[in-house]
Amino acid sequence: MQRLKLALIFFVALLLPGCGYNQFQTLDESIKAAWSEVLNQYQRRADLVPNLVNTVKGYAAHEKDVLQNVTDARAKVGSVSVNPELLNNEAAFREFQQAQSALSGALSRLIAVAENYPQLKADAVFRDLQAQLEGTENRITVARGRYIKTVESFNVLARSFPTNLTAKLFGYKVKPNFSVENEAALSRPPTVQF
Amino acid sequence: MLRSVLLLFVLFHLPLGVAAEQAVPALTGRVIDQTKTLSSNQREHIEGLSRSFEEHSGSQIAVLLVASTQPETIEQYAIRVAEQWKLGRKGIDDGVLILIAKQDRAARIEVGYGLEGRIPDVTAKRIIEDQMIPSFKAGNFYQGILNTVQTLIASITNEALPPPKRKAPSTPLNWSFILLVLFIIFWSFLSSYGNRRYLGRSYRRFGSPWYSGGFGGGGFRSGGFGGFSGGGGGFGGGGASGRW
Repeated sequence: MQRLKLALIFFVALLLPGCGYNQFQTLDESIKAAWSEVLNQYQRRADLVPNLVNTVKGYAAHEKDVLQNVTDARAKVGSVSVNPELLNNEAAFREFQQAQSALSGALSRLIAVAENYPQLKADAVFRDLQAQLEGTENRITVARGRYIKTVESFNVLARSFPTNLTAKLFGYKVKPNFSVENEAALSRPPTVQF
Repeated sequence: MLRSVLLLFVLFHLPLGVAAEQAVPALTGRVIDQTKTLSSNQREHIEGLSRSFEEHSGSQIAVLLVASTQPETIEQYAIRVAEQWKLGRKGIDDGVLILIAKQDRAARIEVGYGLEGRIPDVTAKRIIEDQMIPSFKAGNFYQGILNTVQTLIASITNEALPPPKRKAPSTPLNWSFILLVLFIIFWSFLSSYGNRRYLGRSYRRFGSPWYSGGFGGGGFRSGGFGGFSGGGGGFGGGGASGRW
């Protein structure tokens, strides 16, 4: 009987490395890091908005709608509370994504408006801000891409056998990913023509 | 029956005519020109600039000319290349990639994390607009690339980056050193086998230090081997693009 017990314990111990618990921990941390980076870049974009609005106002003050849109969108983005819990809450994540998407759309329209004002287009400050905005949009894309890759690894682990058993045991759910709705507006950087 | 099954099997595994992403070329040198725009003299001149800059400061600047980055945008392709080539030193991330898609008439400067202070997006954009595009519009790609590399070098030079590691000594010396020590140890064991009294005395100690970190974190130093490889640097999507 003793030997049987020992054999059983031995087999269970053999299975432990395969259960993926450690991998879950590593990937969870990677996801948090990747997500922080995404938030970082979104914040960087939000910080550009006041300068952009002021510069455009200097030349195109009567484009009130567009300017107000951007300011409102930025306020909305600021109000969506951002915390690590976002990753575990599908609804909150989607709300965050929609707020960012709205800001992207508003910024696109702002840049498009500038096309009608050649003086604004030629303004050095505006061109610098445009360069910064483009750079930030690209950084956002890169950060999101890396986040998506990390989430993919985590989700595959959470869904494959036998690690899905460990996931059920410890309550690891599939993490949210950026969805395709409004993706066209979100992924297209503000068009710039010189 | 068997034939039709085999046929189906083969058909299922045929690749579809989907537009595949462009492959990232192997990092065989500092200037890779797939469009054959630059003459070998011109290429060597730019490579020389990049090489001496790396020896001086540790940062890695590479130039890649492709015909087109389709179906991706130049930004998407550039970050893929940069992530694979890993220009710049690991941890310091001081790499710069200059990518030119000649047929697309697009160019991009991809800046590593560590250089984003000295070459922020605005500076990169200005370099593209002022140094690259005027020459490219006139069809003088060599001049545009040369100006760009020189301006980048000037911009980075003022950045307080860690100095490059000492160059690797020539390999024969390292190996003979190791062999010598191994021989001494082996010999001391042999002699001690017969006479234990000599065990302590026959083992000579070497006081001179080993050469430190031969290859360091920067990959191969091209001065020694003529090859070039990335140092493990990271990129975050910073930089700027331009079209002409």
